[in-house]
Parts: sequence; C-alpha cells; structure tokens
Amino acid sequence: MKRTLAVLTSMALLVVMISGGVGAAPKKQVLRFYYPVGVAGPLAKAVGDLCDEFNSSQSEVLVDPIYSGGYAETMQRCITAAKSGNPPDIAVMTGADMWVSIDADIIIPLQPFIDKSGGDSFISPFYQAFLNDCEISGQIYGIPFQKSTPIFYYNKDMFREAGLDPNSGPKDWNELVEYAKKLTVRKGNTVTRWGLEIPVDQWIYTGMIMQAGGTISNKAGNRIALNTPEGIEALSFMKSLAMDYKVMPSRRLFGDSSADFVAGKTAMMYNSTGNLTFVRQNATFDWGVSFLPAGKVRAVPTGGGHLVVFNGISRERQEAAWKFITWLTSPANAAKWSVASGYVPVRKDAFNVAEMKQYVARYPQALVARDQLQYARREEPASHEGRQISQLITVMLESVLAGNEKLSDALNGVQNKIDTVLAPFSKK
Amino acid sequence: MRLAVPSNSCVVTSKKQNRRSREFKAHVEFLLFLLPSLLFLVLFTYLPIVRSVVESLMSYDVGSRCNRFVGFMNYSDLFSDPVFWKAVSNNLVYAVCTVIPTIALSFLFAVILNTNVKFQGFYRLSLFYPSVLPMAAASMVWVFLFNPAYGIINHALARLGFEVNADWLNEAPYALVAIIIVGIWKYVGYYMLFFLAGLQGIDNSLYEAADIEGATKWDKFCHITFPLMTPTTFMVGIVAAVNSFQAVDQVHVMTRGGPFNSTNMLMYYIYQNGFLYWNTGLASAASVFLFAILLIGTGIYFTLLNKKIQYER
Repeated sequence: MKRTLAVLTSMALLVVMISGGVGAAPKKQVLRFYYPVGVAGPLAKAVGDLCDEFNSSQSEVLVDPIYSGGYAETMQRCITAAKSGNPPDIAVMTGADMWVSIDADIIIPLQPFIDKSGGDSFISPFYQAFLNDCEISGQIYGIPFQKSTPIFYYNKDMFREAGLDPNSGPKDWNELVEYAKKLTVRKGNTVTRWGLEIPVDQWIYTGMIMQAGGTISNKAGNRIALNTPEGIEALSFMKSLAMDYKVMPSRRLFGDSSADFVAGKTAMMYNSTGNLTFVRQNATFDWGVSFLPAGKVRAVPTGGGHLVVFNGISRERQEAAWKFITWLTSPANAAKWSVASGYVPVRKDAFNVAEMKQYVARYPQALVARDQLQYARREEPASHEGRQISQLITVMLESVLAGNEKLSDALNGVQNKIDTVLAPFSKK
Repeated sequence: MRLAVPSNSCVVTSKKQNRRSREFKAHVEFLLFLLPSLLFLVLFTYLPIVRSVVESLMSYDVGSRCNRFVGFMNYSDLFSDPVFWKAVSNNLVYAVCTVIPTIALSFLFAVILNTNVKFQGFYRLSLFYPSVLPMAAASMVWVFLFNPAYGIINHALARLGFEVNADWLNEAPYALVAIIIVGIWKYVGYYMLFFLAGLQGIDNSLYEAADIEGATKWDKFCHITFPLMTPTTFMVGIVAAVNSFQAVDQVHVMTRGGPFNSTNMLMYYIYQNGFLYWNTGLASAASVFLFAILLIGTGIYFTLLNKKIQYER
C-alpha cells in the first residue's frame, strides 16, 4: 500500500513537472506533418533530420514529422483525419490526390501566402512544369517538394556487346525498337533477357501520348481524352513492343523493372528518376541514363509529391505551416533534400548550392534528369477523381499489352468509363 | 371454497412474480457478464454495419460538398460495374478452389499425423507454421518464390519436367492460381488442428470393435472416422468459406488485383473504391452486398447441412 502510494505520488509529481515545464516555455505551435516515402531508401531519416534542423533553427514552431506509408496510405490518413475533425497541418500529396482533397474541401489555396512571401519572386525560381502540377482551377494549392520524371536507364556493358554506342540511349521510338531487338536474348522461344522493360503504368503511357503530340486533360479537369489519334498511336506502339516484336514483357511494375535491371534481366528500362539511388547502389555493371526516346516531339511527364496546407485548422497554424514550407523549399534545403533522396531539385537555383554542385560532379546522371526538365509536362490525369482514372487507364494498358483485349475495344471501353466517372463534374 | 380461490390465485401470482424477478435477475447478470464483449461488438461490428447500410444509400456531392441521399443509386452503379462482377466471379473461383482442397488436405494430414508416424511433432509443427505468420509477410516471401527469373517455383517445376515458364504474378490465369496456392498453404495447418482435435475425440473402442469384425482400414475410415468427423468438417467448411470471402492481404501484396483485375476480389474491390477512390457510397454498397451474401450463405448452409450431420453425443 505504502509503495503504491509512493509510486502514485511520484507519478503525479512527474506529470506536474512535465506540464509545468511546457507551460513555462514560450508557447510553441506544434504542427503535424504527414509524409509518405514513395521510393525505397532511408528517406524517413532524411525527413526527420530536416525537421529537427528546422525545429532548432527557430523557437516558435515545432514540426512533428509523421511517417504515413506510401502516397495512398498518406492520403487515407489525411482524409480520415480531416473528416473526423482532426486534420494534420501539412502533408505531402500527389497531384491526383490534390484534386481529390480539393473536392473533399480539406486543403487550402496558397496564393495569399505566396503573395505575402514576395509573389512572383518567390514562385519563379521553381520549375514551371512542377508548378503546373500544383495549379488547379487557376489556383496554386501546393508547393513542389519531392518531384520526379521518368528517365531512360540502359546497361552500357550490354550496349557494347551488341555493338551499340554506349554513350547515348536511343533517340526516338524507331531507334528504341531497333535497339530493343538487338538487345533481347532468346533461348529457343523463351526470352532469357529482355531488351526493354516499361512499367505498366498510366504515367508512362500518358507520357507517350504527349510524345505523340497529344493532350489528355482539359483545364477544368473534367474531361480526359484517350481515344484520340495520339492515344491510339501511343498504345499501338507499346503493344507492338510486347506483342509483335516481343522485346518487352507484358507486365512489370516499377519495382520489378528496377530489380530486373540491376539483375541484368533487362538491358534497358523506363523508370522514375526516384530510382537513381537504388540503381546506383545495386548495379554491378556500367550503366547510364538518357532522355526518354522522343516520339513526334520530345516530352516527359512529371510526378511526385507536393506540400499542402490543411483546411479546418487555425489561421496561425496555417501561417506556421507556410513558414515551414518556405524553409523546406529554400534553395539550400531543396538541394539538401535532393542529395539525400535522389529526387530532382524543385528549383533552378538549388543547383548553385555547393552541396548540389559536388553531388552533380559525382553523379552526372542527376544532370540528365535536370536537363530533361525543359521538356517536362504536367502529370496526367490532371483531373477530378485522378486516382480512379489512373487505375482505369493502367488496367486497360495491362489488358492490351497481354493481348487480352483488342486495342480499339479497350480504348473505347476505358474512355466510356472515364466519361462516366467525370460526368458529375461536367454538369457542375 | 369461494374464498379460497382468490387467495389461492394470489399465491400463484406471487409465485409467478417471484420466478419472474428471479428470471429478471438472471437476465441482468447475464447481460452484465456479456457487457464488456458486447460493448466492443456493438462499437466495432454492429454500429459499422448499420453505418455501412446508411452510407450505401448516400453519395458525396461535389457541388454542395456534402453527403446526400440517393436511394439505391450506389447499388445500381455497383451492379452495372463489370469490375464488380469480375471481383465476384474471381472470389467464387477462389472460394471453391481454396475451401475444397484446404478441407481435403487438412483432413488428410490430420488422419496421417494422428497415427504414430516418426517425427510426428515436427510434421505437425511444419504444417501449422504458416498460420503463425502474418499473411502480408508470408505473401511477400511468395512474391519472391513466384518470380520467374530467380524464384524457386519455376526452377523446381522445370526440374520435375514441367516447363511452365509462367510469369506467375504478371500473367492472367496464373496470378489467380498463385493467390489460391498461397490461400491453401496458409490455412491447411490451421484447419488440420481442428481435425486433429476431432480425431482424438473419437472413442478407440469403435475401432477395436471394427477390428474384431474384420474391417479394413478403408472401411474404418468410411464408416467410423468420416461420419464422426462431419461436425468438424461442417465447422471448418463454414469458417473456410467465410474466410475465403475476406481474402485481401495476399491480393494487396502480391498483385494489387492485377493484371487487368484478374485477381481482384470483393474485399480488395471494397478497399479500392472506399480508400483509394473515396467512393464511400459504392464501397458501402459492396460491403452490404458481401454481408448479405455471407449471411444468406451461412443460413442456407446451416439449415441444409445441419440435418445431415451425425452428432456423436
């Protein structure tokens, strides 16, 4: 009994001390920051380090970084938390999820904050293509944070074996087919090494539509056009690689492709710039990266996550969140994050930072990723219900590449479904 | 006599009241004992079911940014979605192809391991081991086993003379087969335990009597073991069937429903619509559908099979 009493008293004392301690210090805004880790690597630590640095750099705001899974899981936490009246303050979201969040009314436009921070002079150092992803119905809702594009990876050793120039990848679609044919190795009827792997994902497919000269979404984000001459052209090209030339497997996801690439099971692949670090750490051969092979035009879609601020929190918290966002995307920190993660820096002036210069000198692949940005276009589908539409397109792509459905039927089918999904938004 | 009647009836009523109050007390006690688990059941099972039914009649309206009543619109959307029917048919295939082999195999293993085999404990442990693993972690291991380039399955099959060359998780009929294999592997050991327990409950004198009558091993199995195991088989059957409609972990980890929805199943379909596309109404409608199907299915199963089951006691 006595002992219980003693324990209880000391616990009570401890509680008093803790609460007294916090109460005595100047009141800090504690912000909750939900962040996903999209690509493999010890990125959670890098985010934690950046937050620690921010927290010790000033005394008003304390950012609590909360790792929340992949992009989809982060979105789940954001929506459920916001709907139950307890939203986080800051989060990292994909372009598609920003559309959903705006429709659910859980994030706020950032223009007023941008204006306060200097307007154009604040925003213009960011790459325009990245800013396009953040602009929804004429308003900026996010600040680019971890951005990527697809990039072309190739095995230089295999290029040499096949008598191809190891200093550059194929320049266009025709050369891509030619190279892939030369690099595919068969034993009888079975392929022992693929010439090329393109992850089955709408990201790459919509990129190819751009390369064929097409456009996909309209400005209002309530119409997605796939059943167009360019949509057909891009799809038949991808189909021919898998079904006619048989130089590419019909289904590989992003992770599978990079695993196959470092294992020497494919000579070339399309993959995210976010995978540069993985390939660098695991490839045991000479490899290189280049721009995506061009179609009629040179184009590459952007991707990745943006920092957003939540609705339903006090104005002071929103301002504190903005303070953190501006700090996190400053040239020095954008460079630091890029070096730690392998993502492309979100702003041009980050390349003037000494740390970034050293990094680029060691890993010139990062420069290819940067230079390709001049051809970057907004990530598709830039529309309402982006995630569902992405999935519809990806499923259609899988079906066509496996020869499960006729190309025209598949495109008609997916176009009808997309139109149905978007119908409530065009009535508005 | 006349006077006695009312007094008599008075005694009866007071007796009745007494019994009633005793019954009432018993009820209260009963409820109190149930309360802790009932509370959680209500909070996390019954309320969500009611909520799902309500949500399935609502739809989020982007214009006004609120939920509005839409009647059975979600249900008509659901029933006109080909992906939903694909998920239903995949789930039926999965159910049939996992439940029957699982029961057969776990029964077989139980019968074998109930005899005095060498290393009996080791075999039992090895068979039970998969059910201890979390499904997600186990599925991740299977992802590697099924890999066509460095996975052991294609290599082993080739050694045995079957050149499959299947890209298991990326090709249409194979992906579902892979999911089914994992589903069977995971639960055989678990259901084997039920059968083992059942087998050990069978009175040995029955077998001794059969031996005296000169019955063969097969006779004993058909006329003693099998009939006496029907209650266990029945129970395992219903649990396995319900379980097969809740399969989602291995789908999420191994295929994400792909390629082209060939491994999409009801629970994953609900997850996709509810938590990836935020179509809560449609996902709720699908949940209610699943709930109804399982309820009706279990009901039919109980009434039809219960009659044919031979109970020991």
